[in-house]
Amino acid sequence: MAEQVPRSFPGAIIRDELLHFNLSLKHKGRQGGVNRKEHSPIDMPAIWKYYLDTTLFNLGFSILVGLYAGPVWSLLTFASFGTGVGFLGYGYFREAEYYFYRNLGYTKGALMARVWVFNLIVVVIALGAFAIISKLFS
Amino acid sequence: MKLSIRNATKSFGKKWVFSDLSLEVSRGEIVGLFGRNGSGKSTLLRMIFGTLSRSNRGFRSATRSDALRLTMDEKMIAPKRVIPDQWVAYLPQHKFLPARMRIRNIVPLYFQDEETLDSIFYAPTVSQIENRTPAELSVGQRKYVEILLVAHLPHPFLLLDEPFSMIDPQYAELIEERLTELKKSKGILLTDHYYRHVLRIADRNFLLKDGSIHPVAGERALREGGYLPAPRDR
Repeated sequence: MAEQVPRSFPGAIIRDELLHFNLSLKHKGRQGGVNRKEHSPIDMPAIWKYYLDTTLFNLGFSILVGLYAGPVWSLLTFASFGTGVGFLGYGYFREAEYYFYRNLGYTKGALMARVWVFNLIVVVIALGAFAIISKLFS
Repeated sequence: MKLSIRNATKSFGKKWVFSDLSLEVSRGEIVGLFGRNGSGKSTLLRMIFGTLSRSNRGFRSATRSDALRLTMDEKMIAPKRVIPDQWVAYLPQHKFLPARMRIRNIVPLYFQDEETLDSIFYAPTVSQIENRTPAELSVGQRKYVEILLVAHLPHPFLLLDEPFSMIDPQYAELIEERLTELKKSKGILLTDHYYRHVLRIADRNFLLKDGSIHPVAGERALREGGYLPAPRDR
């Protein structure tokens, strides 16, 4: 394999690291049709790629809401309406890339479900942390 | 292993694209599908892959006329199971790789085992383009990478929509070689207007015309079927 070239800007470095932090995880379910195992929800780096791409749109929208309505609303938006905005943004700008995931066995619905569940978990944890911190400093 | 497409019927509004069309693809063969623009080649491929609504006698989002029965060795495959069960891999006409990621970062999103990674990264010309993003590649280079990725997937069948379009002769030859090698382990259904490439590698060929499918054997049959223009008198 050719030697790696230096990655030039900080955004690229963060993106590449985020996308590859779980590359060493063994990938299951690639037998093709017969005897195929189900994907685990987080066993594929491709899922993280999709998650990051949709979350960029979601984050932008949720931060805007947060600036107007406060951090709790920002978090609630992130897990609900903002996730939908993320899907819409991705669908509008990158619809064709769904084929990238379909070839890996992920339908659009399966990808969206995973993102939504993950965002819900993130927000529940963040709201819990927010409540604890508020209590500590009140 | 045999993929059977039966009773494929599709209409867009009042316009019938094809009706009651049947086709079989076996593992170990390449089947070429020709047809003029708008004859329904891509529509058929997308219906097989499950991204275009079809009825399996009861798929709700399809119109009443849209239907396609897909069986694998006589076992019925539900439309919504084609993608999750990874029966068929699909190379669409348009680009589908993440535009701003380098090729060397895209490939590990599909494959993690050393053997496959080596097979892709050591494939001819890949070392020259692996540090570029799909947006920086020519159409031919991008298509070559897409074919390499799809070809290494474990799916037993491949649908290729115009794999030779806009490809220079050098890359076209590489793709021909790769597909010929692939058919040892897969069944391939491909469609392309670059008919000479298809005729060279396909074991059987069909012409989709006026909503039905006809077997064709070579350039002459394609001409007689109205796909190729008649030679001009000089």
